[in-house]
Amino acid sequence: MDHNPFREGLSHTRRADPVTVVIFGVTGDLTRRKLLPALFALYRKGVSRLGVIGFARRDWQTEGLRQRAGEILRDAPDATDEQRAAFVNQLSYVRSTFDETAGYRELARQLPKDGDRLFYLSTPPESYEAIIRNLGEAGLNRPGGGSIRVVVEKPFGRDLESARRLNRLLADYFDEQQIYRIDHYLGKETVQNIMLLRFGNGIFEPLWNHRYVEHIQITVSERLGVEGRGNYYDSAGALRDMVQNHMFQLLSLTAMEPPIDLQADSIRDEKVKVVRAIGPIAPSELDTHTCRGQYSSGYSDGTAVPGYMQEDGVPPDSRTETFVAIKLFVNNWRWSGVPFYLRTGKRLRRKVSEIAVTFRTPPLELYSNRHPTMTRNTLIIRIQPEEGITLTVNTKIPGYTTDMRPVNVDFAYGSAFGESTLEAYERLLFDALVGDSTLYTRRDEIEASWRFITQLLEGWQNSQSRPQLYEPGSSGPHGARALPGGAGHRWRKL
Amino acid sequence: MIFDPARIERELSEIMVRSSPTEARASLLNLVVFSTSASKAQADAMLDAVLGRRAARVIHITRTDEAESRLSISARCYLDHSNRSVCLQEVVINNGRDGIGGAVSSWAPLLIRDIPVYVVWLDTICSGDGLSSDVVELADTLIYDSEAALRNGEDNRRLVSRLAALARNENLALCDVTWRRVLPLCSVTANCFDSPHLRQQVESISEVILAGSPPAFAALYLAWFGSRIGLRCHEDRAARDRRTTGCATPAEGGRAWELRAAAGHTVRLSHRQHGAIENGVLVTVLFGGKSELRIRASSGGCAEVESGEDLSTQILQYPSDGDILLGEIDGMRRDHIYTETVRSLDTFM
Repeated sequence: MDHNPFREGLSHTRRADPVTVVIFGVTGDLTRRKLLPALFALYRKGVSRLGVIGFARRDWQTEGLRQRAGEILRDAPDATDEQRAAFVNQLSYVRSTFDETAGYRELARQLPKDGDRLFYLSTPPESYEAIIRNLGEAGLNRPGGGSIRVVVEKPFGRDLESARRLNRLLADYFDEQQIYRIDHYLGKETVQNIMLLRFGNGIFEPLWNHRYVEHIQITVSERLGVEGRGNYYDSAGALRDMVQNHMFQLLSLTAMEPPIDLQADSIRDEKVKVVRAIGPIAPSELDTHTCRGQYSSGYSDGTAVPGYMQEDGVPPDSRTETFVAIKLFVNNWRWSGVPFYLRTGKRLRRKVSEIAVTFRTPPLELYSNRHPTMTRNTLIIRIQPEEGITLTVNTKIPGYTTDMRPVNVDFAYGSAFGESTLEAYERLLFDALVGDSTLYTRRDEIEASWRFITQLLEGWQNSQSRPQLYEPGSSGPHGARALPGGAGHRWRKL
Repeated sequence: MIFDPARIERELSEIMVRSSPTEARASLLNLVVFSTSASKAQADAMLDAVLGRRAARVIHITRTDEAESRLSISARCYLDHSNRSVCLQEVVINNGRDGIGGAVSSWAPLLIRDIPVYVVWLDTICSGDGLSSDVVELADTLIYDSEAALRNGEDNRRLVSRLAALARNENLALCDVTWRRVLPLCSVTANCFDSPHLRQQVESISEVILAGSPPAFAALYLAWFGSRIGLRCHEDRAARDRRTTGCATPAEGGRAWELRAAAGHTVRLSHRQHGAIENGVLVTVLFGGKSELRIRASSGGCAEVESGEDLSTQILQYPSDGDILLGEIDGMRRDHIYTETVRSLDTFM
């Protein structure tokens, strides 16, 4: 009998096999804020055969790592001291630079012979090459008793060429199925909910195309500045830091065709088609289709804050953008002619991540008091804060007239559930442990997004123009306002 | 308090404002619980699982021996992780001998419209007043416990017929608490047959013996097993049309059924030694008398599986009543395997 007749209809619980997670750069901030809390949460939820080996340059010993881990996990909600102690005792440390072969020999010695291995690259990208090469040279990339996977943090390259080089290097030592390029935005429940909203409901998809959608806005704005990360940020900028990864993920999920099933590659096949279909922005269109900004000094929460160029680690003549707005088109059958407006920036008025789909007006305007923009139906998918969905619809104002005004049909995602959603890293780490790459980015997706981004970067570089200054607490530079203006559109208020 | 829906709504609103100083989450579901004095503790245990986790309106109707029906209302609110209140609005009705509290006109107007209605039925299903068609009509999901129904003296055959009839209602999702406890054992069984070696022997299964567990648990497990491997009755069409009871050939004083496999040989499904599942359950599958598969499930959270020389351990945890209710509230699905199992049971018994 080929199939198992007893399997049908029973829920399939995904279980992680015994695994050792090796964190390169374990002494860094990401381990403290996200990785260790996420691994501890998974441990408490049943991934108990979980070892963690930290690998870093600092002069720590296993005891030092355990002591710090204990401190980090001290405030983990609902955890007992026994659980903490048991988890922390499964931690060990390898002290080595990333290009020192002896360190990898020591790592090989500490790794259990059986079970899965997950290598997590939580280091500055300059170290990736040495780590990947040394893992390969030490034979740690070859499956023995279990599977081997490698998780690579962003930034994944800084342009098309460097992304390709990194992909080629990874491919020299690992199969694509072993490579997990992480974008923590995909671990957020509300981002995963975009697909569910579109393909789990019958009412949206028939309208989700150029015939009914007038334009789409994707906003990821932050109130904070670079907060001590000036050194890193100045080599990246908003385009690399936010658009190439997080915002393109939101764009792909919003614009993709329905996948044939929920397999990782079926979904990623459809996502990459969207990125490939984005029309290039010619150098002559840079001023009308993009706007760069840089925050000036000013006030935030009543306190004086420095401008970007006065931040620590930022050169005083920096041209790095802390704000970017882009008007782009997805040139396929579904979205032909529909503008997508993307904007992201630091030190803006409000912290918001959202997708707003604005629908066309009715073909005949029966009601004359329509406001030019406010009365268009808009579906807003709020990723943060107050995750949820709002649909603006027009309704009659009570009285003798036929006056109307927009009202919100509101759904707060959290309203339904009185318990906290999973931390993005917890979900993504679990997926990597069980070998599910759906929420990770594939090689072709990365390269397609860098192809578009690199053209913009080169165009800006050649234009010699500077980013426009904007005040802290504003909605960005004045120039950005004109971007949707030509089509009679306007940005949603921040 | 009198059964005046408008007044009840008004007072509930006032209590909510007092109970929830912060913003309260909107109710996600109606939960109507029918219990008796005997099953009230089980009902309360189920409700405790929802408390503070899902905002709901609960209407709890308990059949009592008091002369007159009584009603009281309350709200219990808890702050969640984002400092918003998750409230249970409760309408507690003691349905006295006057029957007013249980009348559909007393509780149905209190349901919040356009959100799902979950009915937890912990009263008799067939005997006495039984499960009314009004309840079935209003419920989106009906949750009951067939084991408790048998324990309360319901006729096994009538109960199965009624459940099979309910399973034909395509607008209603069914959740049998006993079935949800059977499922972990089904999963362990299914895991065993992931092995190609055992899968090749499926067609030679000659007997399945379940030792331990209460009768409804055993009947559901054996009917599931039989339906999965396509067992049929030993009868022709004319005989099938004539009969008024199940088609399986009874054996061992009604504690075993003999059925026909697709290959033509007889397969016996039997239940021995009634007992609580916490005392352990042993499943023995015989393959034409040549080899055996044994699954020994304990209440300790695991099952030992023995097949030939191989011995392994699998996780097996029986869910609590509260977990079952919470899972059902979030799941919102029709369980077609249960439907098929109950239909098979109705055919076999």
